Amino acid sequence: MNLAIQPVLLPLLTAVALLFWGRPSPGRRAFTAISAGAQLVVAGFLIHLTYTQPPLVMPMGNWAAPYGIVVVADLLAAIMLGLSSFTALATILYGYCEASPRIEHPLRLPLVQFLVTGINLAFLTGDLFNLFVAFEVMLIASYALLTLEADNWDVKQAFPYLAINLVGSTLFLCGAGFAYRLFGTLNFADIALRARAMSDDPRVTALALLLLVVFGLKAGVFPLYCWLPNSYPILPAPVAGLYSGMLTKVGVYVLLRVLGTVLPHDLAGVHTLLAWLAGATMIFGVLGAISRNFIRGILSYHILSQIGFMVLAIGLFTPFAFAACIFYIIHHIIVKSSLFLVGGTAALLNRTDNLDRMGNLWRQTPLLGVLFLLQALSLAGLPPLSGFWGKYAILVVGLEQREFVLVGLAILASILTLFSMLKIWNAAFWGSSEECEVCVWDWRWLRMSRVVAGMVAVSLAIGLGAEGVFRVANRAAVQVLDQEAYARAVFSVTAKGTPAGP
Amino acid sequence: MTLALFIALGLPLLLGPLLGPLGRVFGRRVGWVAFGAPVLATAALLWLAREVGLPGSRVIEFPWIPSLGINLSFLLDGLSLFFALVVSGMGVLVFWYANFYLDDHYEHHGRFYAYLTLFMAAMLGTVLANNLMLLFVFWELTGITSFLLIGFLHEEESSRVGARQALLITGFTGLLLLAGVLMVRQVGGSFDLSVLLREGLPVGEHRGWLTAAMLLMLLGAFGKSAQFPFHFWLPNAMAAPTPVSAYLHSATMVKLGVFLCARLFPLFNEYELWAPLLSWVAFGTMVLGAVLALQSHDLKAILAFSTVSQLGYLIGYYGLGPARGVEYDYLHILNHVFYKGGLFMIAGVVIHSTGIQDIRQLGGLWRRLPWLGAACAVAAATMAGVIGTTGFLSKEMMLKEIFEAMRPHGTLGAYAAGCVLVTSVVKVAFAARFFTNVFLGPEPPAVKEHFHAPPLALQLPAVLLATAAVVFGLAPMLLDPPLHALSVAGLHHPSDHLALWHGVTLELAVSTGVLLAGAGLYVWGQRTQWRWARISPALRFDAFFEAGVRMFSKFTKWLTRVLQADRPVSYLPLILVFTLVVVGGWTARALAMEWRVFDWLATATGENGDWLRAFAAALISLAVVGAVLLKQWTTQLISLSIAGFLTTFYFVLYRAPDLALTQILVEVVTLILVLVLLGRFPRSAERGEHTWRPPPLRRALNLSLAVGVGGLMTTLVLWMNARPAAGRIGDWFPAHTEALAEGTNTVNTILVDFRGFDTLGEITVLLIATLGALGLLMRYKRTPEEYRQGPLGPAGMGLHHPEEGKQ
Repeated sequence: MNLAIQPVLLPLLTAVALLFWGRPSPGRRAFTAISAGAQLVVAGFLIHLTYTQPPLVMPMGNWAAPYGIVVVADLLAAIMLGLSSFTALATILYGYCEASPRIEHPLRLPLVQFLVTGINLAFLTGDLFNLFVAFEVMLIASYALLTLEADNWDVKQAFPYLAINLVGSTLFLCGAGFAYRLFGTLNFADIALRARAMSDDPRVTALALLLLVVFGLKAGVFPLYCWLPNSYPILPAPVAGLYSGMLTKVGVYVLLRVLGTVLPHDLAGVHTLLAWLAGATMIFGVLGAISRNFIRGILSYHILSQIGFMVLAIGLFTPFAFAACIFYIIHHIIVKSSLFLVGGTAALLNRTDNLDRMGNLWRQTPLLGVLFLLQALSLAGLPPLSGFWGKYAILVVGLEQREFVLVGLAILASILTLFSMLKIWNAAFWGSSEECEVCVWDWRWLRMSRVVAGMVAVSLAIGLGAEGVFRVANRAAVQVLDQEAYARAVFSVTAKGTPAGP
Repeated sequence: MTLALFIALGLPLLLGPLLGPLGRVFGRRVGWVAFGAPVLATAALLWLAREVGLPGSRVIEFPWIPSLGINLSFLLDGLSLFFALVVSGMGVLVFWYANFYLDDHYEHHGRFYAYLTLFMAAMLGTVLANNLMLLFVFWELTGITSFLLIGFLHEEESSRVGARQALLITGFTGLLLLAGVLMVRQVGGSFDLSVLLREGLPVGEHRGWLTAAMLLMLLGAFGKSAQFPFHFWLPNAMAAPTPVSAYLHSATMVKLGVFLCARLFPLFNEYELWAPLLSWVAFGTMVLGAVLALQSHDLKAILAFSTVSQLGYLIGYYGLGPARGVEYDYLHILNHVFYKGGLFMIAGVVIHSTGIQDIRQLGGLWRRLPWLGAACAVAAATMAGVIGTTGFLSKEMMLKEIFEAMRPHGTLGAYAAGCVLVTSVVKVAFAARFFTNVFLGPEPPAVKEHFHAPPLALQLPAVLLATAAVVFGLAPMLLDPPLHALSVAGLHHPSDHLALWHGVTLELAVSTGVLLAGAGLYVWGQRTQWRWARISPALRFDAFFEAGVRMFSKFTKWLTRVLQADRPVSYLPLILVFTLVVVGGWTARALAMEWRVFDWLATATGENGDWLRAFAAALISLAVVGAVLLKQWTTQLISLSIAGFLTTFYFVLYRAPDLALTQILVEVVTLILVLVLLGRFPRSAERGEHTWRPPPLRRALNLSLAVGVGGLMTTLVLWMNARPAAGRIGDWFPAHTEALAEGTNTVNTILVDFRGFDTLGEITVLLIATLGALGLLMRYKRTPEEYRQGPLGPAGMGLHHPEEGKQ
C-alpha cells in the first residue's frame, strides 16, 4: 500500500463515515479523534521516510506521469502534512472540551475532515489542475464551515470571503489553462523540465505573475488580503484555530512549490516583487492588528503580518531563505492556532473578547496567562521562543542580500507585533476592571487550556530544539529547489502509459 | 567548572518557573526558597573566579544550534565575573530585603520570586555569554522579566503603562542590537566574543559596514541603559515594588548597556564615531538626568533620574577612554551599586513604613530610624562625593581622566568636563535634599499618623551597602587586589594604586568647589522650599511617547478604514486593479517590445476564423452586453443564460457534443433555480437594487476594470496561443485511449480514468456543497433580543445556545 495517498484518503473516508454515523455522540467523537491521531502518525512516518529518501510518488489510477495525476510526498509536503494533522487533532480535541456532544453541530466534524482532505491534497498533488481541485475541496469546505454556525449577522461577513475566493478560483483556472497552452502539460515535474528551456520567454513571467496573484490571494499578501480579517473572527474558536493555522499557509506552501519546484529559478523580477509585497504585508498587517480592539480581530490581522515574513523569505530566494520560510511556517502554524484557541478560552472566561470589557485573567487564571504570554512573545519574535529563530534566519538572509529596507521593515513589524500583543495582555490579562467577571466556575476552560498547553509544549520544543527543526527545514528547502531530483522521482515510477520522459 | 556554572545559571533558570506553583503552597515563605538561588550563585561564581586563574579567561561551550553558529558558550573573564558577582551579590541583598518588604499586604509571592529568580538567571546569562546571540537571547529575557516585574502590581494603570513602555523601548533597541550583531558576524565570521576579541575585526573596506553595526549595537545599549532619547522609560519603571527598583533599575539590568560598551570597547574604540557618539549622548543624558532629578519630588523618581544620570556617566566614561584602555570603570560601577542600591532600599523602607512617596511630605525620621538615617547619610554623601567615601574616589578619578582627555579630544573633552561639573553640583544638591528632607526637620503629621516600625532586618542591606561605601572609601587599597585581578586585556590599562589622598591637586580643588557650589544650590533650594522644582512639559518624553502611541492607534484605525478592509464591496476592485497592474503591466511591457499583437490576431483569425464562429462570438457578446444594460433581474438573468446557451454552440462547433449537453443541463438547472429563488425575494429588495446607483466616478472605475480585465484575459489567451508548446500531452490521449483505457470517447476516458482522481475531487466538492447548503438551512438564528445586545461572544462557544444556559 502506497503511503503517499493516505493523508488524503484517511480524512476523506473519515468524513464520509462520520456522515453516515449521523448524530454526534461520544463514540463518534472518539472515532474522529482516533482517525486524526492516525493521520498524525502517518504524517510523522512520512517525514521520517522522506527525510532520508527521495520523494514518495504514487501515480493515481496507475497512470504514469505526465499523463495521469501523480501524488508526490517530499519532505516539505510531509512536514506540512504533519502540521495540518497536528493542528486538526489539537483543534478537534479543543472542540470536544468546549462543548458537549449534545450541542455539537452534526456537520462540523465531517466538514473539518473534508477541509483537511482538501488541505492535504494541496500539499501532496503534483499536478497543477489537481491542485485546483484540491483548492476547490478546501474552499468549499471552508465556506460551509464558515456559515455553518454563523448567525444572521456573521453570515454577512462570510459573503466577501466567498466572493473573493471565487474570483481567485477563476483566475487560477485561467492560469492553469495558460500554463497548459504554454507548456503543453500540467504535471509539475514535466513543467519544470520543459520550462527550463523557456526561461527567457516573457510569457513564463506573465504566467508566474498571474499565479502570484492567485496564490497571493490565498496566502493573504498585500493588497489581496482584505477578505481575511473580517471573516475569520466569526468562526467558532476551534475552527478558527484550524483556519488560522492552515488555510493561508496552503497559499504560502504553493508559492514555495510553484516558484521553487515548478517554474524556472531565474524569474528575479517576480521574486523581487514578491519580497516587496511581503514587506508591505508585514507592515499593513500589523497596523491592521493595532487598529482592532478584540482578540480575534487582532489575531486575524497578525496572520497577515506573519505571512509577510514567510513570503519575504520566499522572495529572497536562496536555499537558506527557503529553509527560513519553512521554519517559519512550522513555528507559525502551531503558535497561531494555539493563540486563537487561547483567545477562545479567554473569551469563554470573560464572556466576550472585546478588550474594553475584559480583564482580571492573570489574577484568576495564571495558567492561561502563561500560555498566552509564551505564544504571544513567540509570535513577536522574542528569543529563545520558536518565532525568534525564524525571524532571525530571515534577517540574516536579508542582510546578506543587502535588503536593508526590508530588514528594517521586518524589525519594525516585530516591534509593532509586540505592541499589539501587549494591547491584549494589558487589557485582558492585567486589566483590573471591577465589573469583568472571570467565569472560573465554567470548568471547560481548564480542559481547553490543557489542550493548548500541549501545543505550547510543542512550540517551546521547536524554539529550544531549533537545531533539529532547522536541519529538517534545510533539507526540505534543498529538496524543494532541486527540480531535477523531483522530476527524476516522478518519472522513475513505472505505471500504465508510455514510460514517459521529456 | 561545568557544575559551578550550572549552579550559578541553570539552577535559577529551572527554579524560577517552579516558584510560581510553589507560592501557592508556601505563601510568602516561598521567598526563602528563592533566596537560595543568589546565595548558591554567588558561591559558585566565587569558586569559578578562583578556578579560572584570573586575569586569564576561560571559555565553556555546549552545542545548541551549531548550524546557525549559536552555541551555549560562556566566557569567564574578569569583566564577566565582575558583573556576575555584582548581580548575584546584589541578588543576595535584594532577595533578603524582598522577603521582609513583601509582607502579607501583597499577593502572589510565588510569581514575584519566579520573575525575580528568572531575571537573575537572565542577567547572569547575559554577562557570562560568549556567543553574541546567546547574549542577545538572555538580554531579551531580562527585558521580559523586567516587564513582568514592573507590571507586578498590575491593578494600577501606571504599572501597566510603565511596563509597556519599558518593554517596547528595550525590545525595539534590542532588535537593533540583534541587527548589529548579525552585521558583525557577517564580516567578523563569528558570534563568539572570544574569537572576535582575539582576532579583532577586519579592517579596510568593511569599516563603514562595521560602523553601522556599532551604531546599532550602541543604540541597543542606550535603550537598555536608558540613555537619551530612550531615557524616559526608567522613571516609569519605578511603578514596580521597591526591591525590583533597587535590583533591576539601579544595580543590574540598566547596567547592561554599560556592560555592552565595556565588551565592545576593545573592538570599536578606535572607530571615529565611538568617542563622539558615546560622549555626546551619554554626558548629555547625565546632565539631563541630574536636572530632572533635582526637579522631582517623588522619592523613587529622584533616584530614577539620578540613575539615568549616573548611567550616562558610566557610558560616557568608556566613550572618552584612551585607546590603551580605561582604568577605573569597576570603581565607578561599584560606587554606584553601593550608594544607589542603598538609597533605593532606604526609600523602600521609608515608603514601606510610612506609605508616603513624596519628599515634601516627609521629614524627621531620624529619631525613629537612626540606623537607616545613618546609612542614608553615608549613601547621600557617597552620591555627593564627600571625601571618605567611594563616591569621592570615583569623582576624583573621573575628573582626573576627563582633564587628561581634554587634550586629545578638544571640544569633546571640554563638553564632557563641563557636563561632569554641572552634574556634580546638581548631584550634591539633590543628595543633600534627599537626606535632610526625609530624616531631618520636623515630623509632619502624616508621617506620625501612618508610621509603623519596619523590622531591623529590612534595614540591614542598606546599612551593609553604606558600610561598604565608607570602608572602601577610607581604605581604597582594599579594592586594589580584586580590581587588578579582574582587569581584562584590551579593555583595561593597569591602574595606579588607589589612595585616599593624592595631595593637593587640581581635582581636589575642583571637587571642593563642586561641593561648595552644590551646597549653595541646596541652601537656595531649601530657602525657596523647592517650589520652582517641576519637570517642564517640554521634557516629559514619557508623555510624548504615550501621546504618540495614542495617535498611532488612531492612525491605524484611519488606515484600516482607508484601505477599505471594513467594506466588502470595495475589496474586489482593489484585487482586480492589482491584477491589472501586475499582470497587465508586465504583459504590456513585454508586448510593447515585440509589437506583434496584430500578427497573432491575424494568425488566430486566419486559422480558426470561419464566419460561423465569429457569428456565435458576436451573439455571446451581445447577450453579455444585454445582461449589463437591462434593468430587471429576470431579464438580466435570462440574457446571461442566453450567453451560456450560446457557449454550447461553440462546443458543438468543436465537436464536443457531450460537453455541449452538460453545458445545456447546467444552464437549465441554474436558470430555473435562480428564477425560483428570485421569485421568493421581497419586492422591496428588487426596488432597492435600482434606487442605489454608485457615484459616476465609481461606475467609470467599474466599467474600466471590467473592460481592462476582459482585455487582459483576451490578450493573454492570444499571447499564449501565439507559439503553443510542442508535444502537448493532450495529443497523447486520443491516440492511446482505445489501447490503454479501452474506451472510444477520449473525453470520457480522461474524466473517469486518466484523470479520474480529479473527478473524485469534484464529486467531493459537490457533496460538501450539499452539506454546506444543508448547514445554511439548519443555521441557528439569533433572536431579536440577542441581536440588540450585540455580539455575545465567539460564535459556537455554546453561548448562543439556550440549552447551554440552562445548565
